[in-house]
Amino acid sequence: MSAEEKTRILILDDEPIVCKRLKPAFEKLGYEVEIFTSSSDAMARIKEQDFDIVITDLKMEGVDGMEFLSAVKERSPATEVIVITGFATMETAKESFQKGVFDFVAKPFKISEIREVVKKAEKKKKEAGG
Amino acid sequence: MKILFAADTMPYSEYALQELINLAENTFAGITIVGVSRGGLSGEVQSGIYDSVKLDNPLIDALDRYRDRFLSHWKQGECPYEAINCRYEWLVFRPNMWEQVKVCRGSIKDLNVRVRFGNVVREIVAEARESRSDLIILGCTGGTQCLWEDTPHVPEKVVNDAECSVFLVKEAHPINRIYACLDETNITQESLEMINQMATIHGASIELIGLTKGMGIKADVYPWLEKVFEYLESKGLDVSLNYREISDFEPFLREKVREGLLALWMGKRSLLDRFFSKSSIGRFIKTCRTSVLVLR
Repeated sequence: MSAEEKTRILILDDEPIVCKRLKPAFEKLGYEVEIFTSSSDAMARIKEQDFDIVITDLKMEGVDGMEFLSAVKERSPATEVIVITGFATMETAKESFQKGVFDFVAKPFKISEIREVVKKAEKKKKEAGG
Repeated sequence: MKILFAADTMPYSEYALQELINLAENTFAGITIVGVSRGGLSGEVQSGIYDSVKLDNPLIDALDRYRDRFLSHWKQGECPYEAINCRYEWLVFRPNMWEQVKVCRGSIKDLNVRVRFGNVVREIVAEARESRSDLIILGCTGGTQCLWEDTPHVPEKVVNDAECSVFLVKEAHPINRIYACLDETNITQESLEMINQMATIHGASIELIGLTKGMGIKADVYPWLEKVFEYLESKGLDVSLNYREISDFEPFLREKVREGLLALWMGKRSLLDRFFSKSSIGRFIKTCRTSVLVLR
């Protein structure tokens, strides 16, 4: 897979261990991965670069996942956003879907679970010609 | 997160269902409810819809009941599992014949209900593996027993054989304290998140117990315990840290852990795993009067 063809993934979670776990797992599968533990740094990065897939935690200090989701979709509507969260509510789920989230993954999750969701998001993007 | 609820027809399964609902409500986990029939029915039914073959099976009725109770927990329009995404899908009806049926998927997450046939423990463990479950929830008899009515050693054997975490729901009392016993460095982030979930859902305090041998503790474990403590405290949880000799573990379970939830990490490097045989783990579970969460 050449650098141009690689699917670009941004991962944002204020728990470094989550990022550390996901980065090598996705890189091994040929994805290009950038990780952020600070939502303001991630916010700055999405202004410079569009990503194919964004994986973000919902509950974070500073800019929370919902605001980040809105910002990503506003800048790049074709980006598929996957929300990971420890505590879900119907309200946040509804809001996420209204904002165009691709899927909602509950913590704790296995790498295989999030990998499946990423593959589905990738398939959707390809079918849409993205 | 994916949760497998393994149930039989007995009241303790009804009770354990409430714990499933609590977790589902807070996590929107993917859910599978499974029952295992030890035989008979599958041989009689080659294909077709169960209702049309008119066989009585209390397990099938119980699974229907659990599904209804699970879904009725939420108000209309608020259930993440409400079957509203309907589309045609191909169902393998029998070998050499597929049929297109209209399937309704959950609004956000799926609830699957399955019945399997054969050895109960083997089928539960296989279902957990095939559905890639992170957690198996099952009820069992209370007090110093931990049994299933028809196949008594199912809970103990599932704990021993499962590759994922297992939550044994023992009896109806509130989980207001979690005794989390650990002794090794390779505990997973998922297991810590599971403790976080349990403590938050139940509003429980956590007593983190470092298991020691000969008053010592593995050199790399001490700083790790501190990290685990800090992690849980950073989540706003009420955490305390204590140490306990492995030789005092069983009396501790018998005398001190009488209410709340006992959480045991059962990794390959665990002192519990090295110093006690598999059957001892079953004994711990029976010794302890509370529900038990075995983390992997």
